[in-house]
Amino acid sequence: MKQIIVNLDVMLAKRKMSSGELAERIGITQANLSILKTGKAKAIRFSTLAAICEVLDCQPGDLLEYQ
Amino acid sequence: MKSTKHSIWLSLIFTGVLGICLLAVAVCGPWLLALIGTRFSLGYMPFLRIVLTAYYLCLPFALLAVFVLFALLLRILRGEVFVKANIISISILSWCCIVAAVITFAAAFFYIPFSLMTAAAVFIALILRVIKNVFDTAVSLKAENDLTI
Repeated sequence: MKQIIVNLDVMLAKRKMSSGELAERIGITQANLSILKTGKAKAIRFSTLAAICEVLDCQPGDLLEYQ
Repeated sequence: MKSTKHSIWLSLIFTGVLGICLLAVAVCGPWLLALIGTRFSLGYMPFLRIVLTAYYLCLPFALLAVFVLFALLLRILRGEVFVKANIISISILSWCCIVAAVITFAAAFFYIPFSLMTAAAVFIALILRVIKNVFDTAVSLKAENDLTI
């Protein structure tokens, strides 16, 4: 079954940024960022997505993939 | 929040007292029956025997309900409200009420006032089923909310 894949770790590697730094800059806990990275999240708020895109200087399509 | 904690503590105390009362009546039941038999008319005795028999039949389920209710209140006190364990607890409480309703329904054939207890037990069981279903939905919503980042 096809699903949404979160490519956050790929973008973090491209930007040479740690998970802890990203969590701190977007204002969420590392535990929640871990849920997002491991694909356990059921939904993502537009505000969180916008904050991640702003910090990582990317588009939502760079983070989310349907496969 | 403080008044909620007080309310839960009060409920815990009442539940504990109820459990002790249930056990006390279970222990003193035959003695009470003998006492009433000697003090009052012996015409009461068959009804009292039915009451006591129904009480002893309901007792294990009543004690189970008290224990489950105590555990449920302790979890709520710890802040674990919308968890699966609470749904199971409410479900057990509901089934205990249904069993009590069946026992009192059978006893009502011998002593008609038991039918009031049957109606009360069925009503409480139905309310608990509705609360259980509400909790079930709330647990699903909370799980989804917890996994929304």
